[in-house]
Amino acid sequence: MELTATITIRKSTSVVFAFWRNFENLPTFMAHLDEVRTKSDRTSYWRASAPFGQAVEWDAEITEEIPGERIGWRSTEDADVPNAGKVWFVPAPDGVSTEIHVVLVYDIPGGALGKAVAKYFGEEPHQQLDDDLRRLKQVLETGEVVRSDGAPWGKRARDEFPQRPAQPLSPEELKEGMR
Amino acid sequence: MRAVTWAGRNKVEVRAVPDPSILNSRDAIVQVTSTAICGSDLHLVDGYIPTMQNGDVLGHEFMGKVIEVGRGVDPEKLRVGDRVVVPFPIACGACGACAAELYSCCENSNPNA
Repeated sequence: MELTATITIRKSTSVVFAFWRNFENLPTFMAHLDEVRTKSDRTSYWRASAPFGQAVEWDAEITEEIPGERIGWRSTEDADVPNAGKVWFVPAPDGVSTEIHVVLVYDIPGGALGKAVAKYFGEEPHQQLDDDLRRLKQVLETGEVVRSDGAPWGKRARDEFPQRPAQPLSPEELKEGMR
Repeated sequence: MRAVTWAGRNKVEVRAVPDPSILNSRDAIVQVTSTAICGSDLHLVDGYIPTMQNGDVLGHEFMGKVIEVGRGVDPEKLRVGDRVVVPFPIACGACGACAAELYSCCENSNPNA
């Protein structure tokens, strides 16, 4: 499964590159990631949440890096769900912003784990990547993920069709959203 | 403090409500000195908005004086004592649209946009 998405952020390419290059920042905007820990200059440990309370974890290594321009990474051999990603940082036409182009590739395995992963991503997997980039834009431009009383979890395309009826959130829903 | 609150369809009441506090480092507390009523307030009062709850404070276009600012507020932009006019659009100030002063087109403020 290959997902691509782009977004424009009003920060210089060096600022955006530095934020992404520190992989420990990725869980601040990638909703499915719980934790990323740097192990060495080129390797890191990643943990993501999966349905039914399971955690999916893998080690990753950087495959290519051009400072301020491009980062490529991939999971190492024994990953449960092999995945790889590439991100390009392109100066935007306005001269101050950065266009970010992301490609993520997942090898969905067969069997129960594969079905669980596919179900987790839902019918529109690239919407989740779009949401992730939206959150990255919010974090870099405003300093935080934008939340509201109606959507305390921030922008989540999966919750927009069909949309919940316009009613105040129950205390349980509010607590769940603020988590 | 006291505020005009929604008490049901076609009902408003002036009630005591908790004083506001700084929740986010970029918040500011503005003491309202004069306010306007907008047609959208009528939509709320007339009961057309199903998310209204009893006790919601009404009002979204007003003038006032800044009495407290959060740590993250740039003192070049806003200081305690400034008199301000507060329109209804919520804007981040950092996206491309806000930089072009097109605040109603802010790319970050509307989580649904």
